[in-house]
Formats: sequence, structure tokens, C-alpha cells
Amino acid sequence: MKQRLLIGAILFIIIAAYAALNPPPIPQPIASDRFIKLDASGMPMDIWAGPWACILDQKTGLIWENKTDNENIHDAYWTYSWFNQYPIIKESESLQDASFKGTPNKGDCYFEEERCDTLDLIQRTRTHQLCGLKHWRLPSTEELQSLLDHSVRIGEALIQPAFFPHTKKGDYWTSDFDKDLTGVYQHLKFGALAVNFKDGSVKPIPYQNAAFVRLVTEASKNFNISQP
Amino acid sequence: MPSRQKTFFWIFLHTLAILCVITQVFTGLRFSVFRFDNLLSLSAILPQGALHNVHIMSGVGLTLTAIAYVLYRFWGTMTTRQLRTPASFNPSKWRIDLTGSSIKLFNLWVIRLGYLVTTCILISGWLLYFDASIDSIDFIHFILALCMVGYLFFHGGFTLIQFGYQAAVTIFKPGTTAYRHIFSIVVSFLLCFVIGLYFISFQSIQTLFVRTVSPTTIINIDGKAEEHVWHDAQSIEVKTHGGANFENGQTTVSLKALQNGSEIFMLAQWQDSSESLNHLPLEKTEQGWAVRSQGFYQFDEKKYYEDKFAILLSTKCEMAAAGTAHLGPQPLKDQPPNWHGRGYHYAEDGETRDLWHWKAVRTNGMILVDDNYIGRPEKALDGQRRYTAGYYPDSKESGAYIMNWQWYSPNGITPKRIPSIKNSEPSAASTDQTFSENGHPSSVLPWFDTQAYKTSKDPYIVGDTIPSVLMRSNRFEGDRADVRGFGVWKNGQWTLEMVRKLNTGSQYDLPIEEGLCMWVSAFDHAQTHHTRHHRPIQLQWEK
Repeated sequence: MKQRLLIGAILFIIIAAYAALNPPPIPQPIASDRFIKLDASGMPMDIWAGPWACILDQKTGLIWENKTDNENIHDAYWTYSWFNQYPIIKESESLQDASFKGTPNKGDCYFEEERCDTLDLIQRTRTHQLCGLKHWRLPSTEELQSLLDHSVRIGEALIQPAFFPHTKKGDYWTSDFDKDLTGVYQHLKFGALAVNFKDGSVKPIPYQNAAFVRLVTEASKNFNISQP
Repeated sequence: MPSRQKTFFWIFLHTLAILCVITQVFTGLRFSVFRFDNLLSLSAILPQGALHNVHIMSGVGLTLTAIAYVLYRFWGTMTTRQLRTPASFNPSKWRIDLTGSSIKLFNLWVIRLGYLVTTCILISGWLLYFDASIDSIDFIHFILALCMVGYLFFHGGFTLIQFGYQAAVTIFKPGTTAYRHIFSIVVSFLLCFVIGLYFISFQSIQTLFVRTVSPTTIINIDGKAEEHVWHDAQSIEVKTHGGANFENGQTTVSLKALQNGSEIFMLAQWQDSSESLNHLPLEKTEQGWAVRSQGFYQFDEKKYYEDKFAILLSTKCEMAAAGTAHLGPQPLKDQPPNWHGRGYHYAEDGETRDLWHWKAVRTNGMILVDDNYIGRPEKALDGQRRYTAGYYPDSKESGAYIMNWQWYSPNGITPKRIPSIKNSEPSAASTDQTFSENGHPSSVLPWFDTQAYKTSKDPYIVGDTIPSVLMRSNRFEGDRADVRGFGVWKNGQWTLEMVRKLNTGSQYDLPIEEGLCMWVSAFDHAQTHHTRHHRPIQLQWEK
């Protein structure tokens, strides 16, 4: 009987120890194999950390502007008419000698005395050197389409919400311009392409339309993409 | 341990009792985590998933076993008390342990106490299931469950220690002549089990009769329920339990419903001793701004949170919120665990359950109920800190509230906006905080009564608070705004009126029709720890 008592006690201790050594699991961050958050100086951040200023896409090597809801110049609510330097020189830092295309000041934002256009955001973002980078520009259609994610829930913006919050279900400008307009816009002749994050479509819309913008730039060759 | 061998019927009943009691204890302890957070430390040895049906079925099994055993003892016809001992069986080796009369007496009283505990736990369990109006019935049931654990130890454990594997041989091996009635016994029991389950499922439905009113009848969604049509409508009372902060975790919800051919109106009233509108207030501290909270980082705030109320609608009438309640820290093995360890809501069958989620701070001012749904569990997204399995809001086109911090951290935050400064007094801004009709502070800031926060122009002093909810527009737009609702707290009771089209056409809403089942939950300044009830409420049109 003493032996059985001992076995019973050992069994009880084993079960108690098993319960004690296996506390309820706590959610753990799982690194994305594609996106990395960057802070305002361009340093990589933990996947659950915030707020972040940019997102590095390891698949394409592009760095994207993060949109906010805090009324700064990157607020996702602001809209812009398409207005850009021509020809578009991605590496240019000076706009003084450039000629321009599009329609200025037809969007809505709080940070300009007049209304807003895409060049306003580009210039300010370059001036601020968001994430330590200077060459912010409008993305090409292919670049912007690379962010489309059709695996999200129906009704949500077609993009990874944990990395690109506040994305609107609407048109986002690309750098592709001089596109023939059709339908009700035909009389305006030319416009620029926009990617719609509600349905993933790409269509030309007039320069004067107020659409959303997400700027992009390339990661420099010596950009440290190791995660924290 | 008596030396005689057992009949098949005794072994059948005893084995069933063992299985049912063990199932009851382990599933029951998982339920008890809702009331006693400390029980989470036992999580590793407790089952997870959709356990309500298992618990109730084992309860039916134990009830039938108990009844059968009483009959067996009463008539004394189902056992052969003096079956011949087989030649190979020599109890003399272990009978020596029985010579102590004190041990016999101890065993006898343990078994008698076991009968008492079993009887009480069955009664309290069924009272709990049928939402009996007895205070602390869930606590009484829990204490009895602990007694049952003690009984398992002193009866089962002690017997095994005392007699070793011989005891197992005795309780599982029938005598040679004991097989005569195996078939009839098993079939009879299964029949009783099925009848018992049917009876339980039939009895489990409560009916809410929906009164038909004229389309011209005007019903104001004002939380007052003063229209005469409400007085004429039948009401039902639903006892809900297991919620944080309510007295004994319980509150009784009174429900009424009306329909006018195109819309359904719901009236819910429940007791809540406090009007809780102090939703995660932002407080100026020595170190800067911080969110007052107690559990919010784990998505389980139980102190600084608004009152809420939820209605779940389903074409399925299964227990446990139409079969959507899956308990435990990680009921989905290939998806992340939850932060609070209590479980997830999701629909394994993939069918949408409609969920109306009224929030006293975030939606009440919009005269809206947050239109949500429970569906198939989604795959966790990269970078997502809070995974909600199958629980999601309906989609919206735009609006309405945002939280008034740049980024939430338990260590401190930066507000987005502060109330507009109307004079140069540093703390005057905090007096702009809005108040409910009852004079309680509300954590809502209307956008146009505020200004952008700048650290360099922070007029607040340590101890000042400002609201955490910013209304960026006056309401949701889109699917998420399909349900209108307004609640008023008065004299320890919330009164909430709601209205929705019978058929919204949304894939995330269920058309309201006869036979639809519903469940209700109340939240007393708790983020997720809501009350619950077992039996579904079925909608029937009043004839």
C-alpha cells in the first residue's frame, strides 16, 4: 500500500508539474517574410511596435510611405489632384528647372494654405526626409499593384492591414500619366492611372480628380534590412 | 472494496459514472476560468474547444446513471449480490486491507458523501442550465465541482491506493453469469440517453414573441421605451451569468420585440449598478500622457471601459451562442492563442451569425449599434497583434470614431487631439469633457470641439484627464451602420432600443424571420468578459 501511495503521489506531482510548466500560451509576434516597419529615421522596428513611418517591401526592394490618422502630412484622409514634374526624373532633387504636368491644388488637406496636389506631398516628404530618404515619388502602376492583396476579408481595402493601416477603399495615384480618358471623362482628354484599393482595378482618371496617394522610394543599396 | 464480483449492470453504471464525472469535472473547470482567472494555471490539463455540448451530454449521462442507480438500489433486482467467486480469483491477498473497520467506515462515508455531492451537483447544474433565478448558482455549482474532485480523490484515488490494480479488475470485470442482459441494458440506456437529450434540447428553447405593429406606428429610438406598443408586447427574462463586474457575475435581461413588416424593433433592459462611460481615459502623469487601464494591453480591460450589450442572431439554435463559443487559450491549433485565455468565437460550419454590439460610449452617441458578425475563423495576418478568429465588424465605407492616441503603449501615449482651449487656464480644457444625462463623464470628444495636440503647447497638469474616443464623423456609413440603437441608464438599469430592417441584403446580416435564434450578453465596463446564458431564445411572430 505504501508503494501505491508513493506511485499516486508521484503521479500527482507529475500532473501538477506538467500544468505548472505549461502555462497558457501567450501570443507571440511572427515576423513577416515580406514587410518590415521602419521608424521615422528609417530604422527597422519590431513587428508589433509603432508608430511606424515607412514600410520596407523585401520582395520588391521598395520603401512605402505609411499613412496615418493623426492629421500630419501623411494622413490617409488627405486627397490630391495629380500634378507632377515632367519629365519625371526619379533621382532629381531639384524641381526648379522642371516643367509640370497635371492640375495643381484640387485635392483636400489641412497642411497647405491652398488645396493639395501630389507634388505638395512629394516636396514636403522629400524635405522632411521621411525615414531618412529623399527620393520620394509617385509609384508606377506595377509598383502600386504589387501591394494589392486579395486575401483580405471582403469589404476591406485590398492590402495587408497590419502594415498599411488607414488605407482607403478608393483610387490611389500612380506616376503613369498622359493616358486617354474615356466615358464621362473623355472631354478632359488625358489623365493619370489610379489603382483602386476597393476592387483592385486600374483606370485613368482626370488629373483634377481628388485621389489618395501613397509615396514610394527605393531602398538604397546599403540599406540595412535586418530586423531588430 | 467488497470481495464479491459485480454484475454487468453495476459495472455499466459505474463506468458511465466515472466517464461522465471526469468529463464534467474537466470541462466544468474550463468554464470556471470565466469566473476564476487563477484556474488558467490548470489550462494545460483542461480540454479546449466547443465544450458546452460535451458538458451537457455528460450531464444527461450522469443524470440517467444516477436515476438508474437509484432504481437499482430501490428494487434491488439488478445485481447479483452473491455471485460465485471464480476459482482463479483469490481475494485473500488484498482482503487483508479491509480488516480495519475504520477504513471500511471511511469508505462507506466517502461513498455516501459522494451520493450527496452527485445529487447536489446535478440539481445545481440543471438549475444553472435552465437559468434559475438563484443568486450565485454558478458559484455553488463550482464549489460542488470541487467537492466532486475531492470525492474522486478520496473514493477513486484512495481505493486504487488501497487495493491497486485488483480494484480495477473488480470494477471492470463482471462475473461469469453477468452477461445475460447486456444487450437490453445498453439499448435501454442509449434510448433513455437519446430521449433525455431530446427533452433537454426541446426544453432548452425560450420563445420571444414578436408583436406585429402597424408600419405607421412611430417608435422613437431614444432609450425610453415610452411608446404604448412596448407596453403591449410580451417580454421574456433571461438570466445571464459569468460576466465581469456584475454582482455575482449575473444580470437579468428583459427582452421585447416588435415588427412592422419591414423593420424589427428590439427592447433590452438589464440591471447594472453603474453607468460606465469612463472609457480608457487619457491621464496626464509625471512621465507624460498615459491610458488609464487595467488589462487593455491584453485586450481584457475590466475597469476603465464602457458598458456594452450584444445580441447574436443565428439560424442555428445550438448551445453556446449557436455553437460559436470555443473555449481555451488556443482552440485553433494552427492559429494564434488569445490573450485572455478564455477562448474565441467562430463558426466551424462557416455560416454567418449576425452580431449586434452596442457600445455606451463609442456607438451610443451615433445612435448606432455596431453591426458585426461571427463567421468562419480567418487566417491570422502577418503583423496582427490581436487575432479575433471568426469575430469581425461588417464592412463600412467611412466613419466614425478613432482612438485619441498616436500609438497605444501601456507605458505612455501621445494624444492626437485635446479639447479646444477656450482660455489661458492650463487645466481649463479638462472641464470640456462631456457628460451623460446622469452627470457621468463620457470619454468622447467631438472632432470639431478639439484641436491638434502639440507637446510644446500642452496646457494640462498632472492628474488631468481627457477622453480617448474621437468622433471623426457623426456615424458609420455602410453595412456596419445597419442597426440603429440608443441606450439610457437610469436607476441601476440600462434601457436599450434597437431597430433594423428585417432584411438588409448584406451578406453579413441575417434576414430576421420566424425561427431565428438569439442570445444576449451584457458587459459591465468590461472589454470582452461578458455575461452569457445557455438556452437560445427563438423568435416567433405573435399570432
